[in-house]
Amino acid sequence: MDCSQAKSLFNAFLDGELNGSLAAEFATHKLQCASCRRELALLEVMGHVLSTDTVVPELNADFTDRLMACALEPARPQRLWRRRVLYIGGPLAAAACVLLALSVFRGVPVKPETEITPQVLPFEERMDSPEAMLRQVEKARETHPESRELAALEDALRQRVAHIASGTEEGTKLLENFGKMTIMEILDSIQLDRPQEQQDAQPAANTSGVEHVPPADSL
Amino acid sequence: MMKSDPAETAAPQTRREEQELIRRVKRRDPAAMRQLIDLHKERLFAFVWRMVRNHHDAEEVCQDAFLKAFAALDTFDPTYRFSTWLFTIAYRVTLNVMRRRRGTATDIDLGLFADSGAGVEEQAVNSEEARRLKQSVWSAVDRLSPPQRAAVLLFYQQEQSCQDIAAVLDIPVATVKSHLHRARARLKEWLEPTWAEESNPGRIPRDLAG
Repeated sequence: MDCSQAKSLFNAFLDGELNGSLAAEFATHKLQCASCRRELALLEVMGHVLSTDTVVPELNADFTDRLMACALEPARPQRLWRRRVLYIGGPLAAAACVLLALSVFRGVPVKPETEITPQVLPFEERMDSPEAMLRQVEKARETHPESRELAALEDALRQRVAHIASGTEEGTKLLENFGKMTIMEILDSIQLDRPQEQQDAQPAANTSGVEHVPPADSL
Repeated sequence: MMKSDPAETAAPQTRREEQELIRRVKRRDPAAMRQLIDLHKERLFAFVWRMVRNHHDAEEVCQDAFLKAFAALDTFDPTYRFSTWLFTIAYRVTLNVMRRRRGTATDIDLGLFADSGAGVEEQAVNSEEARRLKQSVWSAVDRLSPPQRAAVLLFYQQEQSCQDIAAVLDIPVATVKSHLHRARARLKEWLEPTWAEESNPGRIPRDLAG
């Protein structure tokens, strides 16, 4: 066995898939070739670090409690958007309460974060274009200028308008989708970059050994 | 920040116990929901955190993944392990978070690069050489594309087979192997010059040799 043959078997060796006479030939070459031995050692050390360095930061102690509270709350049509607001909004609301209490003593006017509700934005209305949606958000911002969520939404929409104006294929698709979507669906798509939350929960189906070459940009 | 080893907290569970637990969760039994969360949260968080490298994002992904799993439990195929299905959901949510984050300033928990794997006691037994080695490996892993990184983490950290990884990533087994092999090639390419400068990479530092 020469070096190029041995190198072509590195992955099979590391995946534990090398056996029989080929494994014996490979082991013999490894004994005789310092260069292959060194290259393989590097890959093995790398694998060793990846396997054994399992220490990560700790989850917050109240993770399960917070999750249980969300899981047991009654389902709402705008659940995902509201949940995000609640998730971030919980600590923010607590902080806002403290600031409001302090402002009473210090005379500093402090406004809490505005929760985005159907009163702030008409969730069920369909939007023909990002510009129309942008106008709705701008209108909402006029009455709720302090809302960071609305400000972020406005930024995201402006980016999409720019994307569509650039005339790319992706931009054209975005434009097509806008005609069919309600404000709520657009909000979800902006938060998740795709609207159908159910799609995430579909069980994996395609696990056959059929060769599938991934797109170049994912490699 | 305190750290934990998820491998130590993951509890073993038979297939039958898992199916019974899931039946109870479908009936919205709070104790069963809590048990299911506690069984999987540490391993899931470890995987997601290694993907996004941000504590807040990782917790939010885990929360979303559990909520989506609970909401769609009726569609769960019991021929899979619950953990495989949960990781599949979490992986998709992770990709969305990473896509959303693209173009914005990267908010990575940099402090954790510096002393990766280091409680005070652990740090004491880790040599400087081993620490640098770990740091260089994880920094290189962070440069991999998301599918390659996920394949590497599931293979090495979660000790999953290529078959299970294929189920989680929802891609064929051959593609999993392709991701793994390309990831190894890239990691070797990036790490070789650094390691050649610092030490003989053929020698595993004593503290890493197990």
